[in-house]
Amino acid sequence: MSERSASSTPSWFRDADYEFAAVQIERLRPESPWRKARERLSQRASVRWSLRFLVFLALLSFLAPLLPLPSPAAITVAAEPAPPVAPWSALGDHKFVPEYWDLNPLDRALVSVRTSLFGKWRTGPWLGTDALGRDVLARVVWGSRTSLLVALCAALTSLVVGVTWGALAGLVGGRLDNVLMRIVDVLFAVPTIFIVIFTLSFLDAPKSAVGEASLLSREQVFFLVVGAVSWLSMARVVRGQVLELKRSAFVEAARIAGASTPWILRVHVLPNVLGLVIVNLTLTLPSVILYEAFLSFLGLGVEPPKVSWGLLAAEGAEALNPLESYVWLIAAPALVMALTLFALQTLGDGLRDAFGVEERSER
Amino acid sequence: MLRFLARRAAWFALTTWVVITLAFFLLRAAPGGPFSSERKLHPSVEAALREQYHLDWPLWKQYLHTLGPLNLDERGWLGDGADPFGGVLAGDFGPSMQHRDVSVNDVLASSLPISITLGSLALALALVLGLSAGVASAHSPGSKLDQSVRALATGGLVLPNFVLASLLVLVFAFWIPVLPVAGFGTPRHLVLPSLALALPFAAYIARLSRAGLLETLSKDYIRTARAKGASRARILWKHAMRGALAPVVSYLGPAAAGVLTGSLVIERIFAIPGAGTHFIASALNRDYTLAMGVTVVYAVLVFGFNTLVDVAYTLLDPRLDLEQEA
Repeated sequence: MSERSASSTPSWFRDADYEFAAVQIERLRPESPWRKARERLSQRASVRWSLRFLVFLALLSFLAPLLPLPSPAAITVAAEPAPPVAPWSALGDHKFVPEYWDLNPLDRALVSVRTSLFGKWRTGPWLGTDALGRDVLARVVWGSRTSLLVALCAALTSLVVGVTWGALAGLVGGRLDNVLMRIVDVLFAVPTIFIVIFTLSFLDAPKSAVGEASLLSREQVFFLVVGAVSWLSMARVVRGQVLELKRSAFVEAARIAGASTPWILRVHVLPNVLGLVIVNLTLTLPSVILYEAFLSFLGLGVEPPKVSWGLLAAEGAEALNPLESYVWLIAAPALVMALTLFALQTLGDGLRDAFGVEERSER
Repeated sequence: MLRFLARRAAWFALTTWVVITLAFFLLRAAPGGPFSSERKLHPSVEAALREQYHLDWPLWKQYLHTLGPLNLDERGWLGDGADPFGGVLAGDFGPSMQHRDVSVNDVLASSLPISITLGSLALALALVLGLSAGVASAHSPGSKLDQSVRALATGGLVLPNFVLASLLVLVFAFWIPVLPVAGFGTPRHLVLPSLALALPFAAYIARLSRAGLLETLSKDYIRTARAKGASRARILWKHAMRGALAPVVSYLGPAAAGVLTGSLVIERIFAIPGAGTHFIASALNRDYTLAMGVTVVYAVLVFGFNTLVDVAYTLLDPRLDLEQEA
């Protein structure tokens, strides 16, 4: 034993063997789910186009005050809705009057930039006008802000409340898991539409009955309510995935190898949950946008003069009659809405395939 | 199975209680009341009305009275005992506060059958349309038929149902005048509303059944069946259908809830005197008792349907254990 020095240790492994092993480990190392997903996503043209369309729409809706559109609320006396005109026959005129509802400071600043940039010039009625002479194109662009904001709000609640709730239940487990998930179960069984309608109808009371102004505006309550009902399925999905991961062989292997809990969470659990979260999110958004339309149709959405796609579609649907078909009034909002939802769905389907998540109906 | 049903019953009790409590306190928390309309009532008249409907009681007493099953007013077990039971748990929703001289039970009895007819018709239609489209398109994936089914299904999923309804009315009532525009009474009146209500769900069912069927058809046991010489039809209907139906069946629960929600809109468009119209009106008019009645009935319907779906699910897939599910 003692005559054996370090240098004379019988070398069972040569350098070449170590190198070979390193190459093998590198080759066999599971690809990160993100890289795999990105590779699969980029192969699909439909997904690329959907993403481009959604980004374009988001920009358009954010920059709406900056665009040389007529005011969405400016009423001109008109006997009846005017049909769309082609941009080349009526490019625009110089009759812009800034008429908006109470805008926030950022939007006011954007509007003043717009007036200094374009002056009184505005686009022509490319998508026609409605019964009050309001420009449909401007209303569709401005309306996208409400619809997208509702979707964003629901997405945020899903992310913050739903993911935390589900992750907490799945990670801690035991009694807390039981309590948290039973709450979700009960809330699922309560038809949410009732809560929504009750809450929203509070603010619909005749002014004489309410007396003083309520704490939150109707719009804020609307956003809160839509957010509050949209996180449940996210909590369930996240919990399921976390439980599955906790039991999975690779997490067990990591634990046996001595990895700390924060490390396991960061390296193994988070990336695998995140894919699912994104997929679930893109699939929730279309239903939230449709929900906004549904509430607007019932008169529980945003209040005029503000606009949303749901409100526009509802107005358009009411304007349909056999004698005078004002088709553009419904075609414009319905088409943008359909395109947006279609893009979201294509994106969601693409993401689902990319992350290898199975389609299942959420409860 | 029995244990499953017992646990379900316990859940049902809890959920109903939550619904009643939520609805009660949300309604009372809302500004205004059933008698505070634009047309001001004389204070003494309003006081008399409030007394008649027990709105002058303390909140806890109103709550217990609404909840039941014991009747707390002068005809109840504390009074002369003529009417000892009342409240939601006794199946008595009390008098409507807006529709004078009519009880909520009467309102529900006249309007609920209409909504249930419309809803079940729409659900059946969604199943038939969705399944046949899904099977047809999974039968020959990539074909013209498959492509058009998928395009149509996407169309049904990206438009709000009131837009679909208006399009249907435009086409089948105005351009090709074969069906009535609105109203209720004859079976012909039901075609457009149930179609408009069913289409979004049919679209999703088509998607689900197509995906499910394609996945099942690629399984090993299908290859075995094919190898032993089973006919195409037999493989499809006998072997593959069962597996493909599972996601569709589990979707029926949310679909039923969605049909109920959607009928709020469809009943309004087609002027159908169902329970959906009462729901929104009662919430807006602060008709406490009627709103409570409609809410509880809808919640019970959704819960009952979900339980049925879960039972049906285990019949399709014997590996699932109801005792564990519950």
